[in-house]
This record gives sequence, structure tokens and C-alpha cells, in this order.
Amino acid sequence: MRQLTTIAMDGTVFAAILFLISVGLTLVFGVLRILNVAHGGLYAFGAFTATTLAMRLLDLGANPYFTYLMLLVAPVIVGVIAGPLIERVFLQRVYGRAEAIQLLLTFSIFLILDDLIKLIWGTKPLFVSAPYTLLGEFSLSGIRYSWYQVVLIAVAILFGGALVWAVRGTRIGKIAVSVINDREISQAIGINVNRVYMGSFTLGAFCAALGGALIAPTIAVAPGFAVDATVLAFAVIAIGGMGNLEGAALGALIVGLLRAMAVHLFPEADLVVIYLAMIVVLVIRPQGLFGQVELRRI
Amino acid sequence: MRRFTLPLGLLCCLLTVGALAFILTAPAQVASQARPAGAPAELKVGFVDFLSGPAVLFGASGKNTAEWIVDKWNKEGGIRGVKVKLVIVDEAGGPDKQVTEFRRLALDEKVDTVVGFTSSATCLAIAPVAEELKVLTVVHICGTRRLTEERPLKYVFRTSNHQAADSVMLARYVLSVKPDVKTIAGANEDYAWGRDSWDDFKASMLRLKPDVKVTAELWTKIQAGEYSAEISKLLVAKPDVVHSTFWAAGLITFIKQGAPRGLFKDSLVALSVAEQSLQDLKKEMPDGVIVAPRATPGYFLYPDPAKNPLQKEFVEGIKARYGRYPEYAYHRTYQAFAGLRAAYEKAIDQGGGKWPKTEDVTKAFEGLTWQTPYGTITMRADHQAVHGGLVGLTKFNPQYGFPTLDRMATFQAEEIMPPVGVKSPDWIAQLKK
Repeated sequence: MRQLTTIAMDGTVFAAILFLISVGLTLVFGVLRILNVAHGGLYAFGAFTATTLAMRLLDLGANPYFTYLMLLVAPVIVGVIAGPLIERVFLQRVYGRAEAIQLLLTFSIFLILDDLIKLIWGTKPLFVSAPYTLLGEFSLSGIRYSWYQVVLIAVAILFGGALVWAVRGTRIGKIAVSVINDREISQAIGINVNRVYMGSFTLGAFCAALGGALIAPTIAVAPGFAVDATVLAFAVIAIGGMGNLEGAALGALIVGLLRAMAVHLFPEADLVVIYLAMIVVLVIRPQGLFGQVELRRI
Repeated sequence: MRRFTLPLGLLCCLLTVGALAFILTAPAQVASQARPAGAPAELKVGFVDFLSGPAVLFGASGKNTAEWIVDKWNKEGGIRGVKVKLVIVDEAGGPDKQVTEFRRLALDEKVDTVVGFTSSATCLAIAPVAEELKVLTVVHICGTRRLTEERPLKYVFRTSNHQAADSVMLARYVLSVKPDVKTIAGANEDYAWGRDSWDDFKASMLRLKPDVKVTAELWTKIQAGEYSAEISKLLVAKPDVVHSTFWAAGLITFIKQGAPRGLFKDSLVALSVAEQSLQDLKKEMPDGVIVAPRATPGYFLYPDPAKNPLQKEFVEGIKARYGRYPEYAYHRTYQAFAGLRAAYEKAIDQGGGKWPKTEDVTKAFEGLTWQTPYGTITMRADHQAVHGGLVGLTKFNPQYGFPTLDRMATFQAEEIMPPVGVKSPDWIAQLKK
């Protein structure tokens, strides 16, 4: 029983982290139909910016609770600056082009962002503890967890819910769905498609940076740390269905629970289990669990 | 009177100019007198370490030390008058890329020798290439015992203990501070470094105390960055001792995530590489954790820098130039360069003052003992150097603002390294208390 509770808790915590990492990636793919490899770079930028802002705040002697504000301010800064810049300067030139070109472009941007991080922050690992330890710990079946881990779960659920509502329930969201379904018709009925694309990418960049910022208090950020997170994000959205928010949540939950089970029951399988799950899903349902089969437009 | 002052004045001027000329050119004259016959204009040394990626912590330490020591030597006139020129290469990119880079260093840059290699994968890949191209290669950090245990080497040398020494040393120390240990667990990265280190630690513990049980063996990706599930597993298993070879950012994250959850209170945690991160962790590192600069004979505070001028010069020099006290990667780089220089100087002396060929230097290197800031090292006939090891428990030191080592223990080379010709697993199976 205790093992079940621990596996469930560990799995859900990891699922929350995975969801926060991958929601921006699936959003950008859903609207722009571009697999944004630079997502990892934006995630890293969010983490570094949040850590630096929190560290500065603490150096100035401010109340440590304000560091939580920094975790929200950092992704806004990153999203608002990087989003429009990348989309207008680079991405809009490759809409509709071969996917290989789009991948190469976003991969190059990722490498540039990675080097920028090294230029700005150097190579030493950076970390800040206050946000993670401030809320204290609690015991579940005799195992101590940090309250911050519960906060991550809560934020993932709330943020996911807010995104789904924004897409399904707001006018802007419905306009975006229209653009997703048919760009040309949307243009024909007067929707400013360019603005929708820019807005969607900026939101995606914000989500990536938010993921990084929220996870930053639990880790030490160092150049190159985002690579693993990006690969995991791809696996999650491949399982859940690319471009689908509920799919990202389900994919994250599946991967999170599988990994927790592996660590507790078969540690040797820890590294393999995620990608095994991805292979199984893709063999049975290539479009992912909630993905739509793409119809070819003539 | 005037007839005498003019020549006297002229004489004085000439004498002054002559003296100045002599003083200004004296070092060159002395150097050119001491320069061995046939010496090159400069000794080109390739230095390979991680300048990018997660292992950049090692590479930065290595590069800093290489530059510091080479600048120091060149200021003092070089190696017997021959200045040293560093050619620095990034070890990132994987073993295949490094083999290409090694060939480029040897054939295009025409370096005289190559120093470096932190990754076990890299050093295993370039060793055959170094032997084929007949390039003197001094490995400074790479830990796999296979480098020196699996094939005879002619041109490749390793100037520091390999990873079996870290594991045996930790096992011995664990038993000294917790003789009643009943259960152990491991949390390591799933590649050669993590696997071999844990295997040797487990084997040493079971050999020295056969009734010890292993309650968990956890494997993570290299620099995984997320250890909550592993920490939960360790909290459930509650072993007396946890062994881990996590390093750099991964280690810091492991401590960040584990300390608040009581991992370091529930178990005695032994971290073989953590000395490198103490200055970064500062107050985050709990007290009472077993920490080592791997199996290196000292660290910046041991032996006593006040009594040891070489250590004082090294520690103060590094701190002044880079703002950081030297940790084990700094010292192992020093070991490599100091050994290289000692080998060259011995070869020059043995050759009657002539500049030596590579084969003369390799011959001089074998059996050589040389001095480093923390003690002496001896290079064995199998091209594996051996030295002692230091380990202790962390204790926060307000004077430095980060933890230093308490309850230190030192181990002799024979206690932690297998003898020549004996493979580490075989030696560990016969370990004596």
C-alpha cells in the first residue's frame, strides 16, 4: 500500500513536470504545425531567468515569498521578447515549406539559444533554494515530500485547464482553432492569420519558459540541461497526440507513472520505459492517443 | 682636468650601457646556455577537456590550471629554457569526434604531447590512436580502470588513480565511521563511470563486511536533473549507507531535492566527487556527508598550506586568478603537467643535456616520482600512476562560507589501488582489511 501511494505521488509529480515542459511544444505544433526544437532553449531561458531574478531578489534582502512572483515574471519576459522575435524574423519564412527545413531552422535556433545562455550566464551551475524549501515538507505514508511538489501538480492542472478553456471557450481561442483547421478560409473571412501565428508562438514560448521557471527551484540549472527535457517533451506529445492539450496531459501522466513504477520496482528499466511506451503507442495508434489523423489537402 | 672628465664620462656611460645590456639579455644568455641541444623553439602541448556541455565544470578547472601552470613556467623561462605553448581543444562531441581531433592535433598542429581527457569514453577511444601515432599522451582525469588494465601502453600515461581507488577508499572509510553498517544502496548514472564505481564499491563492502545487504540499486540518465522518484525509493528502502558518483549540476540537484526530504538524515551518504561542488553548494550541503576529491591525496586545506610552500603557491595562485579554491580537477591537471615536466627534465638529464625524443621521455616517465601540492606520485611500469587518497565528512566552515572536510582520513596507495598486473575486480575480491 505504501509503495502504491509513493509510486502514485512520484508519478504525478513527474507528470506535472512533464506536462509543464511539453504543453508549449504541443501548442505551437497544434497551431503552427511546426515542431519547435527551439522549445528546449526557451525552456532553459525561462529557468535561467527565473533563477537569476530570484537570486537577485534574495541578495537584495527581499521577502523570500516574492521569489514566487519571479517564477511568473521570468516567463513573461522571455515569452514577450523571444516569441515575436523568433516568429516574425525566422519562422514566418518557413511556413508551408518542407518539414526538414522547419526542423533545421528551429534546431539552429535552439543551438543559438544554448550558446546565448553560456554567453550570458557562463558555465557554472546556478540554483536557488528558497522557493523549493520555503513551503516546508509533509509526510505521505511515512515518506517526506516537499509542498512545492504539490504546488507543481496544482499549477499544472490549473494551467492546463486555463489553456483548454482559452482555446475552447474564448473568441480568440476559437479564431485560433479556425486557423488551425483551414488557414486560407480563415484568411478569407478576415482573420489576421499572421497575428494569430505570432500570438500562438508567443504563448507557446511563454509556456516553455513557464515550465522552466517553475522547475528551476527544484534543480541546478546549467548549460545543456534542457536537452533531456526536450527529448522527454517530444516523447510525451508523441504519445498523447501532437497538437492536443488533453493528449499532452495524458501522455505526461502515462510517462510519469511508468517511470515511477520503474524506479520503485525495476530500476534497470527506468531509462527505457518511457521510449518503450512511445513505441507501443505509435505502433498501435501512430497519431498518438488523442491525435487526429491528418487528411491530405490537395 | 677637462681632458680626463670627457673620457671618464664616456667610460661611465659605456659601462652603464654595457651593464644594462648584460642585465637585460642575461636571462636569454643563461637560457640559451641551458637550452638543451636540439631543443625546439617551443614545446607544443595539446590540452583536451570539456569546454562545453554538462562536464564543463571539469574542463574549466582543467583549462584554468593548464593556463596557470604554463604561464608560470614560461615566466620562469620554460622547461629548461623551452617555452610551452598550449593548444586547447574541447573534449565535447563524443569519442569519434575526439579521435579526429587527436589526429588533427598530432598531424596538423604537430603537438609534441597531448594532456587531458576527462571522459572514460574518450580516453578509451584515443588510446589506440595515440599508440599508433606515437604521441606522448598524459591522461589527467579519465577514471576507467580499463585504460591501464586491459592492454600494455607505450605512449599513453595516466597521472592519477583510477576509479576503483575512489570506491575502495569510500568503502574503507564507511566501515571506519560506521562499522555496524548493515544495508547499502546505490544511486548512480547508467554508464561506465556509474556502473564501474558502484560495482567496485559494492564488491569492496561485501568483501570487507560480507553480511552487508544491498537494498536498492538505482540508475539514472547522465545528468538526469530529476531525482524525486529515486529519492523516494531511497527513503522507502532506508539503507544505512547510500553510495553515489553523481557530479556537477546533477549532484547539486540531487542534494537540493534530497536534503529537504531528509535523505541525508536517514542515511549516511557517500559522494565520491562532491568535493568539486562544495564551493557551489555552500549552505545547501548538509553536514555529516562523506565527501571526497575522488581518491586524491589532499585538497586545498590538506596537507597544511602554511607548512607546504608548493601547496600554498598553488592554492593562492588559483584563488587569486580565478576566484575559486582549487578542487580535485585542478589538482589532477597539475599532477599531469608536473609529471610531464618531470619526465622531460629527467629525459634531458639522462640524455646528457640533449633534447629528448618521445621514446626517451616515455622511458623516463616509467618509475618516475614527482612532487605535487598535495604529495608525491609515482608512475608505475604499466603507465598507471598511484598516490594516496583523502576523504572526510562535511562540516560547514563559516570562514570560507562552504563546507570543508572534518574527521579526515588518508589512505595509502597500496590500500586503495591494485598492484601492477592485477585487475581491480580480482584485487577487490581478495581485499584485506
